[in-house]
Amino acid sequence: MCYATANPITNTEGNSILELPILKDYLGTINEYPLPFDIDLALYSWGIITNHVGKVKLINGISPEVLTNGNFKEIDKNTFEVLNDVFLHGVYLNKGFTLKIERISPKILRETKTYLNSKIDRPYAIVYFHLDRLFTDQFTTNDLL
Amino acid sequence: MKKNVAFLLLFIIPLKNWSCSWYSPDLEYYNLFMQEIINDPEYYPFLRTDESSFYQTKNEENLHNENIEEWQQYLNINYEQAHYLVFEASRESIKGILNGEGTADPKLAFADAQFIKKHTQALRYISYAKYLAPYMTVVRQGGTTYWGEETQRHAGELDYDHVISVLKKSWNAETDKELKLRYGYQLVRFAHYNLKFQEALDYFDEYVEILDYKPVMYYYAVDQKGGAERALQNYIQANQDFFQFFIHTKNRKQSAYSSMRVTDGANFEELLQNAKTPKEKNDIYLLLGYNDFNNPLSSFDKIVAQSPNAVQAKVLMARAINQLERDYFPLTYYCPYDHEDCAKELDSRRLPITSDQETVAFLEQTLEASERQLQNSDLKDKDFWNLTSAYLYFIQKKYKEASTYLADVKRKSDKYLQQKKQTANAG
Repeated sequence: MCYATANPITNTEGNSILELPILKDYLGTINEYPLPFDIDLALYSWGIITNHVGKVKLINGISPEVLTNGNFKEIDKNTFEVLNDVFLHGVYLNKGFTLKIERISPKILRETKTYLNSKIDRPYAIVYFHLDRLFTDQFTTNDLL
Repeated sequence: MKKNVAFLLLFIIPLKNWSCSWYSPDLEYYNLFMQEIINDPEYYPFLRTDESSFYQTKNEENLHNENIEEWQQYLNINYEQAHYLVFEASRESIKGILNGEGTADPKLAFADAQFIKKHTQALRYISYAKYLAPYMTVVRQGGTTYWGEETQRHAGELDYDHVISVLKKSWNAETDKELKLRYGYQLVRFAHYNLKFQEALDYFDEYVEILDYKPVMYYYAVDQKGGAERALQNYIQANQDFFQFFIHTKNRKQSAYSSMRVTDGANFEELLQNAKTPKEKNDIYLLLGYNDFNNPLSSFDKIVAQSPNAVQAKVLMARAINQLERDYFPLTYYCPYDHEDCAKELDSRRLPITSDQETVAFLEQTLEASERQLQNSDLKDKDFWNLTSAYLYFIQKKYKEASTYLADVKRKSDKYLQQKKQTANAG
């Protein structure tokens, strides 16, 4: 499982779904693993909501493209402030909350696969999580092969 | 349930970490603000507690059973008599009365000849309802009810066709709308509990909705219909039904809200789009603010913008203050693992105290909302908002401002006086 490299609740910087340097640390001795294995890679995205008293929760399937309705203002890279009380994927967000988007971009996916290809010295298959069009539409067929 | 204190000085006890032990979040802070001063028992379950889904109190004063109140009014007897007749009297006693044999039960003495003559049909209904009552749970599937609970008896033990036939005949023979409605409710419930979900919906249309009569028992039937809609995966309609039950029942709001929560997560966006009356909108915003991740003051603002005197606004203010109490009045003050000496940096260890900037900002937002209410010329119960404003200054150790607001509390209700005294003494 080559994702979930950090805790999204406590990780305020970077991408908790996948940071390639952290993955490299985890896989330093992968070729010593005695059994056959396949590789599981993430395609999903989510929003990490921080509320008025600092509590955090996740909303699945959020991408920056759905935040263009005037209710959100980008205050940092991939981080938005909620400007008005609004429902987002059925979740009620209040003015002042912050929303950090984490996703797997085609670039990160390519870099990860290139690294895995050079690192792992045995045959393996790739399993993607998860195959919702919401996520797969962001990738070309070649990205996923 | 909570730790109430009414003495002067409270000091923090710094602890570096927790040890493994029994933990009760509602006993981990000094509770000086009585949430129950919202003074509306109907909404007490939605006050703040971190120990259970709903706030519980022994002070459910004046919250009578709404079903009994309807019987009381219909039969023109007092509440205790109606309660005894419906909930406690035996079916045999009522059958004895109906058969002219009388009853030895002295608590049914109010049922004299004139009463019996006038209410024979009602007594027949009550008698049959008492026959059905022990079986009114959902039939078991694989040894349990369809939500998994073990029951002693269930609706499937009765002859379905026979009971339905009796209820239909009774509905057809009855001319009184109140009794027709109750037979209709029994039809919908009995079909629902027998897992005949489409029949339950059909009976609702044919025997309940058609009456165009909507006392609270109508909404009890709507609640049953909602259960059938949910079973048929009509989640949006089920949510609408449970929400209608929520806003019309005063005794079973918890049950209605729980039904909404388990019905596809309760689609509040849809409910809000369909809300028509201020009461509907206020209750939706209350439930959104009740979700403890949401900022209760966001919902509060929406409510007071249209209904400054709404009890739902008081509930959300009480919840916000209780949240602040938990932050400002901890029994023990503990430092994060990476900042073990944080207590040494405090200027004073006398409660109330906090070093969390988000909590301070939330306090300011709460106080601003409370004081803004007092500026509203349409506000009726100023004393509630004087008490909340006083308390929010007291939390900041601004005792002069707190005293000024307390001095404006004029109402002599027991709860208000107790809260006034509690805030004054603690300051």
